[in-house]
Amino acid sequence: MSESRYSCGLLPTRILPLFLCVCWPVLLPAQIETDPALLPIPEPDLELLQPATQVKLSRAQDYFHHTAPSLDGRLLAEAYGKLGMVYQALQLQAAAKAAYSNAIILDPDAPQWPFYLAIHHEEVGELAAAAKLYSESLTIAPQMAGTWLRFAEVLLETGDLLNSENAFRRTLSLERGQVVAIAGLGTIALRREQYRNAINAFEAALRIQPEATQLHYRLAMAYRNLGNRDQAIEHLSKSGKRIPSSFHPWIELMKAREKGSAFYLRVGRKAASGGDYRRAMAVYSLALEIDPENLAALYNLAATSLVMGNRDRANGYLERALELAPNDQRFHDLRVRIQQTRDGGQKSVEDETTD
Amino acid sequence: MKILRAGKKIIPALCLGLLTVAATGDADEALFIDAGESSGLDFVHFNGMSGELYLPEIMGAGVAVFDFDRDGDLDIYLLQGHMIGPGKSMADAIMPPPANTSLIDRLYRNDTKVGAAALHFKDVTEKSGIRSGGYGMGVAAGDINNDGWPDLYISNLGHNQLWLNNGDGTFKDITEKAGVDDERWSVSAAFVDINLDGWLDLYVGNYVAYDMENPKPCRSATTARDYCGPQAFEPATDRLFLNRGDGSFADISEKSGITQVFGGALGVIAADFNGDHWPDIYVGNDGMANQLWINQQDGTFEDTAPLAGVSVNRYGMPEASMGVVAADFDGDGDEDLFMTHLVRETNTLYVNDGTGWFDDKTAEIGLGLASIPYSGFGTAWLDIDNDGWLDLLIVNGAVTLFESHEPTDKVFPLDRRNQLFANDHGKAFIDISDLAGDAFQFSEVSRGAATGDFDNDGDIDLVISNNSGRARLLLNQVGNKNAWLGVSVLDATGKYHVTGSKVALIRENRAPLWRRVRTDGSYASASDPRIVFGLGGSRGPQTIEVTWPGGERERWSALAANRYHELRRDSGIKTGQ
Repeated sequence: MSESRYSCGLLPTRILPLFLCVCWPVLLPAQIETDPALLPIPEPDLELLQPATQVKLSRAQDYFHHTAPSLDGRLLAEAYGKLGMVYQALQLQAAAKAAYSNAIILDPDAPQWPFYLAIHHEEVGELAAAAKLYSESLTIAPQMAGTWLRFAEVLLETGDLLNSENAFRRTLSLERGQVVAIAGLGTIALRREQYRNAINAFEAALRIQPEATQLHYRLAMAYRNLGNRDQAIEHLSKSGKRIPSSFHPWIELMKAREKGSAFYLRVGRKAASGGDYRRAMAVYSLALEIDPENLAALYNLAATSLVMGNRDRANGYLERALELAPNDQRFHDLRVRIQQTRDGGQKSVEDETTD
Repeated sequence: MKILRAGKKIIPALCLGLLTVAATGDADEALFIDAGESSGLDFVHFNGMSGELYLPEIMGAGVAVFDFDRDGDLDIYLLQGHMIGPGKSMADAIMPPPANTSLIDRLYRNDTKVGAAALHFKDVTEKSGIRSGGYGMGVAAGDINNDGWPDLYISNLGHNQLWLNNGDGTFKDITEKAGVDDERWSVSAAFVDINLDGWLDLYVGNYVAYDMENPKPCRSATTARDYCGPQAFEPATDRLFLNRGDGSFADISEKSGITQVFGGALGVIAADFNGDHWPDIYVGNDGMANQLWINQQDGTFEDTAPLAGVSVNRYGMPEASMGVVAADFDGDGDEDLFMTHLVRETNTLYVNDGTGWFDDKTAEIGLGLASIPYSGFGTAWLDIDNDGWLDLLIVNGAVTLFESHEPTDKVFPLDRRNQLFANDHGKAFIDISDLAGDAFQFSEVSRGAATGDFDNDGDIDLVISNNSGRARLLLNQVGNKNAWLGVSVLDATGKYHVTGSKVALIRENRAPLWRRVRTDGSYASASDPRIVFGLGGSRGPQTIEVTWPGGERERWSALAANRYHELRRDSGIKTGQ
């Protein structure tokens, strides 16, 4: 941490380590050079965070500082957006908000940045702002069922039952059997005191996802209000904390950033050692997505590509790796093996992969 | 309904109501002014924080509003903290108290002269004999020996204390003799006559088992050090003490059944929730299911919270449940529940169907969204403008450093603004915080909140206790522009307030207005047991009907408006059981 990037005020030095929010930079250098309209990103003091988190964050920040000056437009937006995802995954909301806002300014046609900014607003309790941003994202990408779902849930919380219902139904038109949407319709019915409809919806959701034990509570309240005490008691006894689950690819990407590249490298090696090279490639790619300069990810992608017989792809990863680490002997050795291997696949991938 | 436009806001306006004030945004019509400093209420709370992030240092403290000297005006008791943590001394304090501050609880006597323009409080702690040097959390006020002099139960991080009011301006510590100590971490307590024998019993809500010698290092989602949540600790069981009527209490916690389920209590309130004229007890637990203890009329209680719909939120998830209040906000004659929760949760309004079953109507009534950015603690129903509808106060303050999403250079960045909501005929609540005056622009770490009419002018004032900050005395500036009627509901001898009595203002061609005699509720605080009915524009003589605990009813008529009345049991006309 350089002193010039952070302004720490006049706090007693002994309490500095305790307070996350006291030290904030003014601007990142890349922003000044590219567009003065962009927002400054308040970066947290890394020293306050756990070592593993420090590594994750500093890698992301370093990568951003390294690449941003040479980028503009959509690519710079992507750099800001990915940095925002790292911050958001760690609940560093102010930084995430600024990064996403910049991504939107730079690439207003990308649907994911208003989506992520909407999640930020949801997480800090600004639901009206979240709804507006989900709507903007859906204007750009109306086929994203998961975005319709988030939009519907926010509308439900704001009390806009009619539009919430429409959004849940739109979700279901795009993703049949979506449990959260079905349960959402049940919740709307419950709020409208249409208890029979609510029961039908919750029971349908539970048939699809019986492990979503939280739904039993809502079911119990619907039965109770219908006057069916026994059913209400039965469902209360089954109610638990497990909420119905949903999948959104953009959320998964953000969660991946929380887990960090090391997690996906481990998962990838396990897949590769089990012979599932296709999955290993996918997971290593995710590690690289999280940490674009991760040499282990690049090496494993190259090595796995080689084992799968795709020398061109292996060479592609190798070239990127050598740009980053021209003196790393592992990559030179791998290049030699690629050149020697005409058919590929003779060697176990376990011997190729690395940490 | 007439619609007024105020800036960009469109607000339904009532006849002379609070919402009109809100809608016109008249700057001269501040609803409250802060009279703390000018009145001599100079209390500043000290939490003893040293940078170790001990959970207890952010949880206190409460405040009591009571007339300890029975001179007809309300006095104030405020709880204090001190340095905590092994080996910690004042040299370790991050926010040291003002010089020469004695770190014990303080009693302020209201010495305002009749007819005086301004309130005047005097710190009489030394003279009162109260030496409460524990790490203060909460306070309950009630007359445990029916001598007419209100007593105090102090809940601490550590041993609790029962201070008996001697009736001469002094108090005596009778904790040991009374047998009501609890050495665990208690927060809220409530006096309630559970067996209708005329003696106040005591419910003590205990929080979690916190080991100061071995505090757990917790981290926020950012992985930075932060205050722990309750889940890091084992919840403690509550206590129920039965008053024997001789100055001592029997611990009936086990026998009564209230230890069967528990979850880290923060808010406690007693009221008749199922309409059987026996007092029940609702306990709000931090992050765990709440309990609704229904009085079985035999000394035992049964938790009906799950089926009653008040154990968790509408989605089936437990929430933080700091402050709890009960009142008939919608005018249908039963006790509804409101409680404050953490940031990113919504506060919860449970509407009673009259039988003790509730529906979570928070979102429908407009109290959900406005609460999401805040962690609420103390809360109170009060009819700010005396229009007959109970408005709502919520005092806020964060519980983690992590909640400060925005850059700040504050040492203790838990401060938040407090909120006021106007009740629109029991159908909706409208946030009027921005229009409530400068007193609602403060950003502080508020915890306790208590109500009472300090200047006896017929409207309800507030005291808000702040963690690591000064206490605020907020005087109502608008209530008595409407007519009002104040009542003290007393036993036959006229000595003590009959806690738990339900009081109805009988109105022609309109449903009665229902209130309840109580001192409990809010967070760790105690309020004035007197009742003030807002009469709106109705200035003629009024009729009051009291339903005593157990169900007997008695009526008084021709009560003049705009003054306080004492209603002694058996002095009215019996109207049935």
